[in-house]
Parts: sequence; structure tokens; C-alpha cells
Amino acid sequence: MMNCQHVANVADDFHERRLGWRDRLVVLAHTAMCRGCREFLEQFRLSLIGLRALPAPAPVPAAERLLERFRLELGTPERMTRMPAGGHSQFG
Amino acid sequence: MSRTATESGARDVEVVARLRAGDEAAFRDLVREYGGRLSRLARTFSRNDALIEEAVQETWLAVIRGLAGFEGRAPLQSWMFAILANQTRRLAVRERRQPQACTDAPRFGDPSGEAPAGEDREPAMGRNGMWEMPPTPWGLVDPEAAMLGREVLAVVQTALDGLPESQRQVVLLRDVEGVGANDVCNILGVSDTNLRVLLHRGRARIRRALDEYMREVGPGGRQNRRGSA
Repeated sequence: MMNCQHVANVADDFHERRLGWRDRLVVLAHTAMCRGCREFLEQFRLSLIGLRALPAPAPVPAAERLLERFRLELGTPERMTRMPAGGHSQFG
Repeated sequence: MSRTATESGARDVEVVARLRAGDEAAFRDLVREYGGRLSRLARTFSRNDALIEEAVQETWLAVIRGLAGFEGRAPLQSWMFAILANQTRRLAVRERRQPQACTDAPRFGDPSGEAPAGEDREPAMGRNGMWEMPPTPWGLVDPEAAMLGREVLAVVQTALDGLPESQRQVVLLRDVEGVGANDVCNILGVSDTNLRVLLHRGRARIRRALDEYMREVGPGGRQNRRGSA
């Protein structure tokens, strides 16, 4: 028999649908009778929504030094075609 | 983060192809999108701003050098996060400052890795496994919309920032960045069992912070609460 602590412990698996169907049914049966666990699972679900909605950090422009390194390592198609034979070697 | 795995995979293929072809605009876009996110992750390993900056720079250089060998076995972002984690650890070791990554990771005496009984007991839970103080409803009219409010998100962010470092790392990667569980284990070098324990503890703390906020203040005033006309 699943008690409230067990329900709280499987909240992650329940919301990420990693519980087997038997365990899922047991949780659903428990929450049908237990208001505290029903509320806990709902609040857990809402907390996940909040976490997933956190905004990304502000965009960061690429520093010129980094771009220069990118050009040196990967070049550009135009640049590559202009290079003499064997010109790749200087880029490692 | 809301993209499906298939969409992300297709996008990765396109981005990597452009980068390998030397498309500077693609690289600028990548840095714009991930620069801040790499710093945010590095900050979970260290509070040293110079170290964080160096780790991010080293990560970009490693990305540039490693693009040719990127095989797409993991999403591009997981690959970059793994490089970042390694770079940050390496720099921290160099400075004789081990990152605090797993100091509060569960230390299980049992080699099976099972959490000791009672380790994850909710504070409001009684000894007999039943609620002593059951969670009370937050009384939100539109719960999903309420969670997207600025004030509520600020509560979530503050709670996340206040988590112990290993919990912050797993919650940030798994829930905020949307990295797959296996990739999170690989990035942080934790077992699946530890990941699940750390995730649960971190998420439970976020819920408690929200619960406290909902009880004391409420989201965006009273208009979003039931029974408050």
C-alpha cells in the first residue's frame, strides 16, 4: 500500500511518465482519496512549469577575438577558394 | 527548450553543417544563444568570475576545434555543456579549488545506491508516512498562466539560485535547459540514481519556495486567486 511519503517520492516519475502503469494506477487511486497528495502533485507539476519557463540569459555578442579564431580554424568558403594549394596547413 | 528531440536534431545537423562550412553568421548566432547559458552553468561550479569567463572562452575554442569530430550522438547543446563542465573542473583543479559540484550529493553506504530510508522525507510529512501538514491549495484561477508571471518566475529563480550546487546543476540542466537525463548524468558524472535523488530534492525545494510565496503574497495580487472578486 502506497502512503503519502511514497507518493511524494515518485512525484518526478509520475510527472515525467516514467512510472509503470501499475504504480501509476496506485498513485491515482491514492490521490483520489488523499487531498494532500493531490495538491502536492499539482504543486510539483506547477513548479516544473515555472522552472521550464525561466527566461534564458540575455544574448551575448561574440567577441572579435573569438570570431578571428573561428575564421582561422574554419575559414570561409570564399577564403578557402582563394587560398593557394596547401594553404590549409597554416590553420592547423 | 520546447522543441522536440527530432526538431532539435534536425536543427543541430543544419547548424553544425553551417559551422563546418565556416559560416560566421552561424557562429555568431550560436554564441549569442549559448554564451549566457554557458556562463550560467559555469556559475554553478564556481563563484570565481575570472574562472567562469576563462572556462566559457576555453569552451568556445574547444567547440571550434571539435566541430569536425562532432558526431551528433548527443544534442549539440549537451556536447557544449559537457565541454563547459570539463573546462570548469579543469580550471578549478588548476587553481587548487575543486568545484563544489557534488559535495551534497547523497553518500550512500549501500553499494546498490539506494537512498537511506527517510532521506527524502518531506518536512510536512509525519513519521508514519502520512501528511502532518498537508499542502493547502494555492487557489489559482489559471494555475499554468500564473506560473508564467514575472513575480512567480522571480521566486522560482531565487529558489533555484539558493539550491545546493549539485541540486542546482541537475535542476538547471534537466528542467531549465531541457537536457535529457542520460546526458545530464554524462555531463555531471553522476549516476542515474544520484540524478533522480538530487532532482527530487531540488524540485521539492522549489515547490516549497513557491508554496511559501503563495501563502504569504500570492501571484500578482489577488486577481488570479479564486474567491477574490
